[in-house]
Amino acid sequence: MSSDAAAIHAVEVTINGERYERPALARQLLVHFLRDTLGLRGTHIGCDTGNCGACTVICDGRLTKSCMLLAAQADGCEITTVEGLAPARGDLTPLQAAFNAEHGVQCGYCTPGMLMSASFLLERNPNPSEHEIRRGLKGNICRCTGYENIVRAVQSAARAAAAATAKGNS
Amino acid sequence: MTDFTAPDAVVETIESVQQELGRWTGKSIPRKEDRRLLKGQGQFVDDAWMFRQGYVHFLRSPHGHANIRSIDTTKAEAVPGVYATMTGAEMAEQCEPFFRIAPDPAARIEEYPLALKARFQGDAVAVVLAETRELARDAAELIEVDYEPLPAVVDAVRAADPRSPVLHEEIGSNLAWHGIYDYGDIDWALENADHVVRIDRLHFHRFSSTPLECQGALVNWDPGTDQIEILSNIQFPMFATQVLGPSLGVGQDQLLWRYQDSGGAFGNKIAMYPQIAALALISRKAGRPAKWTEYRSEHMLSCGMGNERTFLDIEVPVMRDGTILGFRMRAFDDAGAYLHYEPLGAVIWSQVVPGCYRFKHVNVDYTETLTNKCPTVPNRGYSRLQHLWMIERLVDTVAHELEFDPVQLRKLNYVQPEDYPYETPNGCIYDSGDLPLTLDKALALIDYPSARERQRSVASSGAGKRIGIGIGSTLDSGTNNFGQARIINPDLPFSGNGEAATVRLDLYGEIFCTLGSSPTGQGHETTAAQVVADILGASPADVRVHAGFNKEHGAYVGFSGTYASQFAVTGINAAIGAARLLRAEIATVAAAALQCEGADIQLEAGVASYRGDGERAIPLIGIANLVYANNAELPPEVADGVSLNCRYVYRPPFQVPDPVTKRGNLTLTYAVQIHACVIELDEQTGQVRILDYGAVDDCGNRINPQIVEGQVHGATGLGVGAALYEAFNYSEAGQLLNASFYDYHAVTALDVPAIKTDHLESPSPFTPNGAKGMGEGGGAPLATICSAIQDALGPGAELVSDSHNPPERVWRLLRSTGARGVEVQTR
Amino acid sequence: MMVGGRVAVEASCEEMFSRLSDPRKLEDLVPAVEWVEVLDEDSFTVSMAPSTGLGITPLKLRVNVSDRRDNEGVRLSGEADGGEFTAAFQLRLEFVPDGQASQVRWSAEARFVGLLSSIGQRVLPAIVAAQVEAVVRQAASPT
Repeated sequence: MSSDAAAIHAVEVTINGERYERPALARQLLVHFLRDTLGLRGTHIGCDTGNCGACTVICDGRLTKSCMLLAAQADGCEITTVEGLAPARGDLTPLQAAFNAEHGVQCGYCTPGMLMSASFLLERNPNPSEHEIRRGLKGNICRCTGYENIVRAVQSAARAAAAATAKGNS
Repeated sequence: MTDFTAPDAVVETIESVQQELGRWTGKSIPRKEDRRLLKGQGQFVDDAWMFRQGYVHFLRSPHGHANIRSIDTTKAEAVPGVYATMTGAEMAEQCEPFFRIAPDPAARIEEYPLALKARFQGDAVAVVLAETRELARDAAELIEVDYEPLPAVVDAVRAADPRSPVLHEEIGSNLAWHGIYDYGDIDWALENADHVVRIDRLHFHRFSSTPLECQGALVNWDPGTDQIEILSNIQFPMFATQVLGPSLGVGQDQLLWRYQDSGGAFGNKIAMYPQIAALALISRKAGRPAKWTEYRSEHMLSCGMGNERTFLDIEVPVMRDGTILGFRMRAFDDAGAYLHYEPLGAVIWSQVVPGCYRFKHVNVDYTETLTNKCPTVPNRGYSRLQHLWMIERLVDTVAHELEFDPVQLRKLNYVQPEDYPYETPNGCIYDSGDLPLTLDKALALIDYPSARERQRSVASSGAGKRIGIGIGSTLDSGTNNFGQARIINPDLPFSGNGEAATVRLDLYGEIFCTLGSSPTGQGHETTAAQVVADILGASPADVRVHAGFNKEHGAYVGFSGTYASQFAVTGINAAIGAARLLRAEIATVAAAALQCEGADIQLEAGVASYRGDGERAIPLIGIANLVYANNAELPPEVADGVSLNCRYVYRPPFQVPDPVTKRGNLTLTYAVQIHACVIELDEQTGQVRILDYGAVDDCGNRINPQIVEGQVHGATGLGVGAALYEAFNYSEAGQLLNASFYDYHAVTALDVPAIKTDHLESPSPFTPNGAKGMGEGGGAPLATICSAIQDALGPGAELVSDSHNPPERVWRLLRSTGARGVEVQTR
Repeated sequence: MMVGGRVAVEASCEEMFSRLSDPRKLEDLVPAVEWVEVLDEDSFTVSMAPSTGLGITPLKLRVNVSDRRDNEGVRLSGEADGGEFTAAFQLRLEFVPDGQASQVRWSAEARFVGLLSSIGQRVLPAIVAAQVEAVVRQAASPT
């Protein structure tokens, strides 16, 4: 076994507002660090090649597939995972509630990554067109829904946010 | 002739059940399971963990076909942190070969958890258990396997040729199954038809639904209790347990199956038992729990793929008015290297022999062969979608070649609304429906007249584009009769179907339900809660449906699992039955407490009362208290007669089919989907763009319309993917050329069009709740898109003969000047 | 799989030929080597253990110099065995003088069997090209 792969790095990250400091093998992927080392198992793995998006997190403000980053590369980063969207026992976020209302979840395996991409999209584009939503989610594969209700959920969340803003302004 | 009159008792049940359902059943209530899934709190198989667990890596053959001269695991075992290794030979000494479905000669194939000869690229030949998954993988690379590569065969038709390489020497050929299905009189029909349309070859390609969560299992063979705990996302645990018990030499009670959430399955996760057997044996050897999570590339290579089928020499007799009399053909199904669930596919298609049409004369010479490719597993629409696609191609081709209007030709040949219940040529009973109306609704979704208008204007614009309009259908036959397995092998001890559920009242009046199903996204927790709530006068929020499958719940029969479009019938009616039993027990206890007759008890909002009198009432907590903790208060004859733990098994009314004539009622319900689409075809590139897409379903009484619509969307998405983007490609040497999502293009949100839906509800007269199973409509887009491409190619073009049409294939079709693959003989 | 390319190097054709046609010199040019065994003047065996996203893959490489044309070209053929894949390749190098320097034209035909061929369809040509050019450049300026 070559020595560089066996090297251990100290990784310090802030995840969903909580600071963690843990050792990581040089070759350990961020997604394995999240799941196996920290036990944050809401972030999923669906492929080995960065295509499926099940492992999507937000890392230092950038939408990131956590299987495409080594844990050591995330040293010093601030990361949001699906567990950071709503409190474990509290209410769903409006986006999550829209996924529930519009039946944008079937097996639920792509859902965490899908939510991260959708919330990232809505933050930057609060009123996306259908095509913009599809483009924003194209890095996340869903095999159950045919995407239709996921698109509707994002549209519905955008409308709800716009209505809430309008109400707040009036 | 099949005698299919429902017994009076069943009819009575049907009427009374439908009266009881109504407050919550039929409503689109949001799903109960979503909350945990949306928060990342689902419990998927890779989330499971056990103390002292090790990680498993399977070493897989790089060759499509090779003898194994020797395997040396010494170097791998020497690596610190490696707990154990095992080879195929070592495993074969410790277990019996798996149970076989096939009759002779394929029954002579002896299969063990690991291969003794590599028969496809990805065949597992050795296994490592180690401290981490990376270490297991690295150590597996140190195992030295001396292979003797052999010539491969990757085509099902060629595999039938005696000169082809043989995969399993013990059976002397590659034949998995052969049989002739002959109904009506096809010779008479071909002699007396006004036209005979002949199609040389149709090919249904290999793809799979590739669930986003790969397979996995965590298996612990406990040395103390000798029980084998199996946490796994296997989709049909009760099939696997029947295979594994005898193979591992353990009792069924020693196999403890359990899982909560599963990241999609679509049939693909049915045949995981070889891997689970390997995990059990290495767990026993190492004295540790063994955990395996499939890599995506491993999944693509070896999990299983949908049936690839080649149809040859198709002859279709047609009358002058457009009446199609039937068809004759030879079919070759590709089983891949092993028969893990096959050759069931060789009979499953016959649930839908004539498709949606009134064909009377059918002759199919059916052969299934073994090839050096990944074994076939069920894939959404298992074995029917291949056949239904062929039938739609055939009807479409008749319309094109004989210049019939494709809509009118279909309507003329459809089973008509007044024909139901309609008996097919092989004795299957189509329960209900209205196909012409379903088609009209599909055409309305795409605004058929203006689409035709657009087609003409684009054609005359000279812009290098063409418009095509396609129609396709699928019959989702649900709740199958396992007796059809006897058409494959008369000695198989299977028939009928069924599912179990329990509904209980717990100590403080809680209602909870356990199911025998293993849901993979279909919302069983929600739909079961809806019907149980209706029966017990509660709200779905008050009914806790325990998530996932757990053999120790006791809610199982030999058929338990989630597959073959049946939960809405088998699972839901089991839950209804169990809830009715519980309601009867509650009424008995309440009647004793309230000094009245059970018939006078009303159950509403958690309270049992005498005819709704709030003063003379007892809450569910009081009932539970009397039975669980206060039984001296009850008259002994009441206390002895209730448990508040009610288990019910729903059994559909089936008889055993006749294996000689290959006739019988093979399925209880037939949901229908008819799709229509408009495509734009680019003449320069062959690229197909879907401009408009409509899907109409009719699955009888819907329990939760939103969930039904979600299934329609999902099946459509996968079907569009298969039609245009997704295909597994093998080289002649048996090398899979696309084992990642880079090369196997699983469709994205940009590839699937917006899907318009509509529906009909033709209740099934054969199910107590009038519902039909409906999850497997994935075949319709393949037929619909092929039909649209053919329409865009126009008169005289080559036949669209493959189910997969990427741009390069369409480009060639546009430029083809050779053989068209179809000819018409007219008298 | 066929790939090819052209690399301009500072070294002369004679230098390139001598380094790329002699197994004893070639062994220094292959990356991630654990050990090399020179069998005769035409062939050698290399053991290497490159670390990739798939893990650490121990690899045995058998290389044969199958054709030499003095100072003009050389042809190498070989086979490699890893745990879950095998590979066979033919590499042809031609040296064309360009003043004091030279142009190296190369073409390779490679056949992969196993996991690598199944998941590497899109990336393998680029990887092979990068490996060949790395060897050629290393030959041009050995360190």
